[in-house]
Amino acid sequence: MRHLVAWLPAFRLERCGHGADTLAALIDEVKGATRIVASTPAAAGCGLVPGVTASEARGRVPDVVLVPLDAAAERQDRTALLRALEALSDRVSFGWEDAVVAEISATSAVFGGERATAEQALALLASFGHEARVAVADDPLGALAVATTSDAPLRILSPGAPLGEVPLGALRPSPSLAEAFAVVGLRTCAALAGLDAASVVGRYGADGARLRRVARGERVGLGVATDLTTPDAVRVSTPLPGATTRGELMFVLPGLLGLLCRRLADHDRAVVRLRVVLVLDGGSRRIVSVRVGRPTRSVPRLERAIRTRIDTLIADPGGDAPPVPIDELRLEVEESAPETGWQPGLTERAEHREPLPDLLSRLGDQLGEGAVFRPVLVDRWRPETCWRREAFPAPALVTRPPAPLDDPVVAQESREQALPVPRPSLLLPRPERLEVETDGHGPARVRLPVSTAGREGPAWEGVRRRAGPERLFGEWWAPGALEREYWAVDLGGRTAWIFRDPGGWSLHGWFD
Amino acid sequence: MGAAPDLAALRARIRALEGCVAVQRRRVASGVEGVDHLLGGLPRPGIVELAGPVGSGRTRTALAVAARHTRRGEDVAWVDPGSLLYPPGAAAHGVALDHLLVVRPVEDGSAPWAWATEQLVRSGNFPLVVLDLPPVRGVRRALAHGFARAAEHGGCTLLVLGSRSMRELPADVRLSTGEGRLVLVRDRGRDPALFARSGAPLASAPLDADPFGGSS
Repeated sequence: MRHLVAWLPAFRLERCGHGADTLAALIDEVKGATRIVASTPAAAGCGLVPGVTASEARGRVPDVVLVPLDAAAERQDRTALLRALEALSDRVSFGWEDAVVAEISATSAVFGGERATAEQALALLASFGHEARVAVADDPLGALAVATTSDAPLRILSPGAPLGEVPLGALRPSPSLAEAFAVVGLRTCAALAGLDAASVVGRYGADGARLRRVARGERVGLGVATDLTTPDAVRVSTPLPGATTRGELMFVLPGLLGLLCRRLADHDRAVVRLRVVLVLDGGSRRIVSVRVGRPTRSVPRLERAIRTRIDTLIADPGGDAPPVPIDELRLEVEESAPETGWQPGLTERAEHREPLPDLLSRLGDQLGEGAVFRPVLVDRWRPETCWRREAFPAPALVTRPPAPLDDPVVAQESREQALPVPRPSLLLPRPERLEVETDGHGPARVRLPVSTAGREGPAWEGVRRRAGPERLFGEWWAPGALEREYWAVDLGGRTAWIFRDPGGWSLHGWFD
Repeated sequence: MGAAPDLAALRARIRALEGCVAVQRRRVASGVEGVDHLLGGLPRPGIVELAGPVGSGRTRTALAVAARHTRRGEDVAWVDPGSLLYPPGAAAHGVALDHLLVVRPVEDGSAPWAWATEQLVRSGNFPLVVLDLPPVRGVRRALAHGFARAAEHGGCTLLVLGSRSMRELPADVRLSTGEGRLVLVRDRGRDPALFARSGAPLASAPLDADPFGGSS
């Protein structure tokens, strides 16, 4: 397996418009003071390194530009960069805060080889305004070490090649491990690679052994293709060759969610919004975004939230086509929040009111967008189609000038619309056939459909009062033209809305 | 015998320990003559049950209450798992549709309507939430008590429409419709002792006008 790593030493400042040569630093509140959290190489050369307070930085370099950290914007930029690099590989992530990892084993051939792929990556990053150094190697950490220590912007390490004289510090050992290496004079990867495996494990533990394997050119890897430093970009995936059913997806979902939650737990984060991606046979994707009401790492809660949306993912948007085989199920964290836990309390402590847009978004995510709406009336005669669904809340009202009433057509329509026509409060999703006896003027006895009759079953009921007919005609150009005669009939305390068309009588609603 | 007062005292003590303020219940004029005549307004926060067979006028009553709220510029949520609410009919009853949020969950076996109702009630964005239960559905006791807690939390009135009275629902007020009248069955706010009794209606009032305009 081959990995391309793009090292972006000044990413956090470059995205703010400050190149590597400018004296600029990123500041944020850390340990009760405003401190530098990142700086350009030029600023770092002047001693403006992470941890230095803002006032101290201004004292040392009066001309330094201090930029407040905008974490949300930075996350967005990282995501945008990953999306762009997905043009080169479908497995891209920020493996480290300053480096992007792309697994290119399967895709490099498409772009003309590893070198051509790396050149394209460089060009792509340059188009975003980032100076990068790119390396390709078997192991991502090995590639990062080569990228950070090489003078050339691009370097390819052949498969299985050891890192050689690359400094050990480039493998980013922990401070204690770095000190332990230094004590015995280990400074290069070649020196570490030459040691006996057993003695490395005994002296430096699992971390030391892992770095030794990387130094020897062996692949250790990052495990699941995830971004381990920016939790909002964590994603996990599993192959599902040929799966077509909901059951197959639900079978693997808990395990995959568990893996995702463990990754998030490493960062003490919880899911706010999750994207479920089905990669279908042929490469197309179906995507749905799921938002949970409260940040959570609970697998059952996440599973519950996803379960309702899986059907919409599997269903063929076109209609009756057979299901397309699924190649892969992927879960991506779109938004995360610090995990603060939740103590419900014995009496439900009051919480802040949830903003309406958030509430609507959650309801839409959970129930489907079409399930949450504001009804709007439409100027049509057919009762079923004289309203439509719009987003809630309504946009700000715009005052329209009144229509001129001297136009006879407008005046007539206005009079018609003002007529007090009875409309039921409940309308059946579909009219249901029923039996009606008339007395020459209108309905006299009614036998309701089985679905709406009482326990005793359908029986003839006398009409106590009636109002009608209201005749609706139209849509003569379409099949199933509208040709109905509506009546409101009182069936002893219950008032039904029924109509007669060429096919017979139907129950359409209730004046409930 | 003394279990109920002890429990109330214990709850009050817990609330005091947790720094909670006791929920202030009040009656808010519904604008519907029959309802206000019987109840002196809707309890807020609180749950009102409105039971009656389909076609008996329960939806008409709920729409009249919703109309009053929406005309004041307040948003009303209507949970409609049966997909039966007819917006032109609601508009004909005076509801300002711009202020009406309709939620139509598709049943998948997990009672999404209950979840949606609790979220809407709890959010505090809607002073009135209407839940129109289809005839075959009831409310499980745990869900019903979740509604009560959510209503307290959101300071909201939940109006539950059903074809029959639901014992599981901890309603502050129980109303029923039938024969063109609105009947007050129980009102916990007025006389707690009545809550323990079963039976006779307390009072009734005529429903608003029907589609016949009073003519035969």
